[in-house]
Amino acid sequence: MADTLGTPFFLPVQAQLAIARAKLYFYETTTTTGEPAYKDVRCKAPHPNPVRADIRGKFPPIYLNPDAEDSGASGVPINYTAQLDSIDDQDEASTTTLFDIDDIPSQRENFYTGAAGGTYTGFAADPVASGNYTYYQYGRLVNLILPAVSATSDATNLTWVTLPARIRPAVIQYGHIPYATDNSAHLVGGCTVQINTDGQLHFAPADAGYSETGWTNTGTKGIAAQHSLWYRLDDG
Amino acid sequence: MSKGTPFFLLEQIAIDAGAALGGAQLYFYQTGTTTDQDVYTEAALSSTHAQPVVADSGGTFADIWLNPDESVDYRVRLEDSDSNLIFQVDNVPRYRENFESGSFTVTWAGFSADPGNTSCSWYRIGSVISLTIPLGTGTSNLTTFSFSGLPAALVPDSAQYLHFPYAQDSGAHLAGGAVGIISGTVIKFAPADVAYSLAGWTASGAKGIETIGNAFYRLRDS
Repeated sequence: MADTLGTPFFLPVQAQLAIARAKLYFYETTTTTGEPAYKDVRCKAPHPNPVRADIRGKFPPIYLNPDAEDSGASGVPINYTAQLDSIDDQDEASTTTLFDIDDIPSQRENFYTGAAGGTYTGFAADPVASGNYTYYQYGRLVNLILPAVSATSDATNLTWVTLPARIRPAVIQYGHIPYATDNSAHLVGGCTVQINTDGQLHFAPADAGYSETGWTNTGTKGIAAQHSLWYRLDDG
Repeated sequence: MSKGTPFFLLEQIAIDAGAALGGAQLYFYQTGTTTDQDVYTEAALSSTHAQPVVADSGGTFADIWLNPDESVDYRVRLEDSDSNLIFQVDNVPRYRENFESGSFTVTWAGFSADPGNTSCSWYRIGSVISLTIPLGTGTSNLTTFSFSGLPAALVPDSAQYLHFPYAQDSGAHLAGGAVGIISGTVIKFAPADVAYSLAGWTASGAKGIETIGNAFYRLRDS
């Protein structure tokens, strides 16, 4: 965890809350299993749980741990639940829960993952079974996993349709796949992928100068090994 | 469905003003417009707030989540209960991560006649850089090929490696393309048709990047 930078925590309720000695509890989201929050951005020094406000109701800086894991499933990332309690002045016992909110993000960026089922053109018999892509969306960045797919060419250009609307880029994006097959042989230089704004992918062999209308040989063609590529969703 | 982006008031309002903000109204629009844009009551984005979101009598708003799947950022407008403007801010990001973009002018080396394009675009997404380098071939001067001018803000902590599939050497397509190595403010290129060597790319004739290339690299190692 040495290189982890914590996620700043803000009170999610836009309150003029100034509650002396209030208690702020942190849990694994939707549970009552305590999960430490930290005093420093590098998540080295945990706060006690609950974190206490001072006599004026002010909390110290709080950082959430993006590496926090499910206590029941190692390696599974979790979000936080934050609960704010006022206290009894006499015995400091919790009196009222002012909020109890799940899904406080432990990560700074938005994350989403899914599968995209699609169809190829350019094959005499479409390899439908290999047409499913997996994607991981990190805010504006998409990591697209393209499975290996090879089949007999119908001597037309190789395309795939279509990406879900949520991961279609605002402007055309380009990626590269190093291992490809054309005319039943390894394609030196692999192939490129043009990711269009309508969600269509156009492939072009990279053994020669760029041409979107290439890849029209006969024989076996396709992506020789699974590969991953990155692209950005928008420019602003 | 995405998880939402938590919304925080952009201006710190004095605690003593709490009572004065009783019934205050928060409006959310598409940035730069008065077109409503939904905000949500929870991170899962399954339940929308009414527009405007209204504070309770103590000036407290319920929690508010923004939707990263919207196509544009938000405009936020806060009015008191009598509809007097308190603040209005555009470009409130719908994403959680930092984003900025820009361009810079590259200076080519390795050419007796430089490639004509010199504008390089960049997009910074958190600590990941997406670099769109200019296409263009020029005439080789028999020395290795590089460009300089990377702004200091885009210099990575350690050397980063990029790949561009369409390149040209000695007037012909270079099967395997080119690799770019970022070292300080300079990107040095190596042909990928043979084993790695930064000393390559010294033939005569036309050389360079054949088509626009885009590559990602990390800015920080920690």
